[in-house]
Amino acid sequence: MGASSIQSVAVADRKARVLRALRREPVDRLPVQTNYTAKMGRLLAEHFGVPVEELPDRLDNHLLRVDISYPRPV
Amino acid sequence: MNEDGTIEFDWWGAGWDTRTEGYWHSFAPLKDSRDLDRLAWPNPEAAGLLDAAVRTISARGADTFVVPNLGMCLFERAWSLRGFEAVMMDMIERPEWVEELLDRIAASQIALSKRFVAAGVDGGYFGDDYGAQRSMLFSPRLWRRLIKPRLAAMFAVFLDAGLPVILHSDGDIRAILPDLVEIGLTTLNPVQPEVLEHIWLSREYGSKLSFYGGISTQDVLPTGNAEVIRAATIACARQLAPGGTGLLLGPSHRMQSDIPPRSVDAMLEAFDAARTCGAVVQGEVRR
Repeated sequence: MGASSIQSVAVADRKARVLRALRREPVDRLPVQTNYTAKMGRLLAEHFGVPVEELPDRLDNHLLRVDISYPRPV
Repeated sequence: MNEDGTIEFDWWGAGWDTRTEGYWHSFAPLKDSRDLDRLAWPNPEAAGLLDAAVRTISARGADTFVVPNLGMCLFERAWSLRGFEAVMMDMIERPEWVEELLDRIAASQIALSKRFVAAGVDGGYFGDDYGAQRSMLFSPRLWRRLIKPRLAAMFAVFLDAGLPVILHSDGDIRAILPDLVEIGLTTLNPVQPEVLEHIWLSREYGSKLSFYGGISTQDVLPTGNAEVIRAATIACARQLAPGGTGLLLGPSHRMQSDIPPRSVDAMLEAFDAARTCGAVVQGEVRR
């Protein structure tokens, strides 16, 4: 493999790192994402000693899903 | 929520058992009627639907990759409204009716997707399981007739805006991977190692798709020791990202409480090695 095949990779923030990885472009390191159920989230928060809402950062999650908000039907 | 709190109803009116950790379907509003006009279809243009999403994008969108959760987007939405066995029979006995049902679902998803794109999401995220452990849930021929054109239209909302599209689809869906590439899929999730062999997947589709997931929540994480988990995590990265990119690394599904926290510790420790175990060397990538 010759020197011409080496590309510099800028250190990216999490958002840019995901976009580049999804597009199969060079990244400084692979993005990571660990999803969990509500019950598992409570167990992990206790295990790590952090509030549940801080778990995504503790896990270095790179992706966030957003939902619609609506009055729950009865 | 029903009176005793055991069923929670989603936006579409399907009911889910609240006493379980996963998704357990418990109410199908079309179970006893195929009259689509009698269903109280939700309004995707309703005011306020995206208020919380917009706040999150504003607060977190600068450095986090934000996608709309369009799970159970088409086939799964159809069976959640009609019932699984019923819709499987409908697909054979009255496919025209199923097409009308899917058209109405797709129209809502497309309208929602357009609103999410306008709100500033970074990509599309759809979920729709088409596979079982050893095969498709129904034939690729039926998938191509009923699902493919509507899924393509849903993908197009994001693709036309220059955004990537992620699809979560469990199980062995090898038969339709060429179709998913054809309609523009960017990233396949969850790439379960038990059903989609990673070396094969990377060899056949690594130049066309990126991947998300890959670490077994069926076997490795619930049952493996630290050494097994470390080896599986690094192998996943090496096999699905041999060039050091093309992978959003993580468990193949949402982790459930059958996974010991010490196994999560082992996975996180392995991440440090796995994330740079491709061809990345000191800030450079060999291509």
